[in-house]
Amino acid sequence: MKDRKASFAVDGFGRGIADIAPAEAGAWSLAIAPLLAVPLSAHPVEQMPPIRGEGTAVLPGERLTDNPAEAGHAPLAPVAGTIGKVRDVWLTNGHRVPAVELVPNPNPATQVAASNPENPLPEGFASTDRGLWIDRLRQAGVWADRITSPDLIAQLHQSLRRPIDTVICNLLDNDRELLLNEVLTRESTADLVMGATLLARISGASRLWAAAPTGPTRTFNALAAIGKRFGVRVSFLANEYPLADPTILLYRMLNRRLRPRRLPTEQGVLLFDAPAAIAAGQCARQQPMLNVPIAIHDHIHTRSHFVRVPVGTPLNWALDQLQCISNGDAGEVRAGALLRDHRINVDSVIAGGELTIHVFQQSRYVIPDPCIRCSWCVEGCPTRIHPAGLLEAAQKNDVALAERYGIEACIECGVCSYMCPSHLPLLAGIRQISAVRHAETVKGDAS
Amino acid sequence: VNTEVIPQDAPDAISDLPDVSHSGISVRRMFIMHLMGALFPITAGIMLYGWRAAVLLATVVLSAAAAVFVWKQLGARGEQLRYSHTLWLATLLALTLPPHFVSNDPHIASANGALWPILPASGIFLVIFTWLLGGVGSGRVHPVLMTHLLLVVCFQHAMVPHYVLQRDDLLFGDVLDARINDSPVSRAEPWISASIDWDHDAIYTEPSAQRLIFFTSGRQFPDRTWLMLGDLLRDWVPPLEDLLIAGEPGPIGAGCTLASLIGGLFLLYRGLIDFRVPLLIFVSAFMALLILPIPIYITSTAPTWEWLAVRYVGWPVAVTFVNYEIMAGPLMFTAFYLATSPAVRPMARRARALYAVLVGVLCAVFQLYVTVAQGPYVALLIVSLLVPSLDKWFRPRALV
Repeated sequence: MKDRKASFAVDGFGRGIADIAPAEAGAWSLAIAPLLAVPLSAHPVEQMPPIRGEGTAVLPGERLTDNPAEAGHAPLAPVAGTIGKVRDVWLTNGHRVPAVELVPNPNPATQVAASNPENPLPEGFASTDRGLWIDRLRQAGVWADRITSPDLIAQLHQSLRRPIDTVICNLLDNDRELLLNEVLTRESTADLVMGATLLARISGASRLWAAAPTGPTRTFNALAAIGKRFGVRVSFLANEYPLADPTILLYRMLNRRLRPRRLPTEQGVLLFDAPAAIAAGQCARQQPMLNVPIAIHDHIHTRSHFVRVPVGTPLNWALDQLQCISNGDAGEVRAGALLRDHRINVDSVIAGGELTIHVFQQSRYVIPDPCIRCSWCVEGCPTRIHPAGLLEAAQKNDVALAERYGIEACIECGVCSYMCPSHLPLLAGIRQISAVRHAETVKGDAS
Repeated sequence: VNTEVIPQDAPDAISDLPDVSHSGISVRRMFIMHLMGALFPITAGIMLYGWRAAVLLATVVLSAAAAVFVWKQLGARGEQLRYSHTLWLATLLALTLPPHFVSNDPHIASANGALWPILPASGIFLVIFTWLLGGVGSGRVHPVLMTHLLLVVCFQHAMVPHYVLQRDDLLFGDVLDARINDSPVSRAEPWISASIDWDHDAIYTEPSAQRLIFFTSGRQFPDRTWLMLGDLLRDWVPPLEDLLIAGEPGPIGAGCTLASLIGGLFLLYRGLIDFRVPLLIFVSAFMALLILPIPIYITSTAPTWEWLAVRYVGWPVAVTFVNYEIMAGPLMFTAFYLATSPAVRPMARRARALYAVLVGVLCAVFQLYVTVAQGPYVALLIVSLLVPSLDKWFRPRALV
């Protein structure tokens, strides 16, 4: 880590946290893709935000919309370029959202400006107004919406209405091959501590914890030493999958019962991971979130890659650059934890969604044996539900039966499918009946 | 649970890389691991009962394998039979049978004809029951129990074992080569240190299970004015170490209680069975055997039954009696190898606890009043019929 002091000091929530030495920027960069697709929102939207005119040239960090969105992050140009059309894209978290195309400027002189971006952030950095700080993060393009770091902006908005007593920085990695949180903690300890502290202050929480894995790693011991100065308590946990899931993590650390797919703020907790904390820390240094770190494990060649790419980079470009694609075919791509089996389109766009990617050849379909009632799925289930019963409910299309077997508590971690000696498609069945249940709920609400 | 959600047009294997999304433990491998746990009682059985035990095992297993081969050709359900599963069941079945079935002599065990055809027939019946009761999964009645109890119904007297090898003829001796007495008496010396009959490979004796059931069911007639419980344990049954280590005639899987225990502990160590099931079966059976009414003495007119016999006979005799009851029958074998079978035990942990207690108590009831040799099997059969209801009542409690 460079011993370089921040060039500015801040008051308000930023008081005292800006003098931590920042990390070296620009590490592990890839070549910029010939066409980026910058997401305009983190979720599907009914009304498209107004886009600046097609063909408009923008500089790095400039906003791509005429007006800031009412909620959610502001889309920023990650590199200098020309605005193109708007189209729908898939994100790595499975959401389909509108995105604006951006053709990067091939002139390297223009791209140099990316390291000295025009400050797009409004006044009020020294404020203690929590709402203003949330706006500030939004305007800096900070967002995260993935399993281990649920929708950050939504959590912060909810923190204005609900009391938050604990902030947890989730540094647990799901996969041994993709220790993204650990790598980022080592590379950007200062930004991480700064961001976590800032988010804790915004949320008004009294406790700031970092959930780190136990083991012989100096990274988290260093974090504990630095974090101690800022009230960050590092809690070391045996990182057994799927502990990084918010439902399991909150239960383990606080004995609070968070329903899957709900925001941790419902249980009085603000939860985010290392990339989100670092993005917030960089925001405190007036650096918008223009690129994101991703970790890719190539199971074909059994190697891992850690790179930073501009927001809006197509996944297939990154895979191609990293030579994970052979003959134009990446086979099967999964985002997030390996066992979740969350398969994504290779054309997905890298932004605030899942940041860990697994690349396989086409998977082998195994013809399953009948269920032998070994109950390994029940015993292995971290939320103590009945996966085999849920598969039965899926086959009968019986939502009531699925609810009796605990579908509401399922975090879709995939442990059941991993353990099943019969190779039953338990996770697929659960997702199928979960979708049916969701559709029935929506239909019921509409009627 | 069937497998309809699998796409029927799924491509065949494309990748030669290991499947990182799965633990790698398949049904086949799971049953092979079970079989490794059964190696302990198998080895002890072959040691104690000689080559006839090995032939018995091979006959049942091979006939079951042949039956599966044929049955797999029959319809869609036949395809669901698995060799690994059936071979495991056949091994269990073979372990419940006495070694004298490998005999062509019609006079053995008061049979009317040769006993050996029962063995291939039992293998075939096992496959039929497996097929009828739901294939590799979903059957709530254990096919081994069904087949064994069918044999008991058909060949009740032939199922009573009387032979065990002497310690100098282990493994290679002929278990039917014994001096046969019309009224065999139990030895006072333990098998491991008893004097050896050099003219024969084996000894012929009355199994403890028979002695115990005659007494506890009140069918025993005293040769003196009365027969007390303490007298039974002292004079009429062999030393307890015969039941624990070796020397007791029995089915080849229950000849050595210690081997069954070690095999069961192996299964526990490998995480294949739930410790609650055998533990609670033993505890509940032990308690029930202490509490349930038993004859504390038998006169020439009638037995005198008492609840909680420990009040009358004292703790040493009561506990010794319970130890005999537990080790004279196949309770240990049932608790570790049959009651833990995925097909019959409930899926929820709390349900399993209740299931094990019920099995233990019923085992005690059947052992005391019906039959020691088959009591655990009958108890398990009855409780396994309740398992669907237990599964319905006890659902896993979700975390959130």
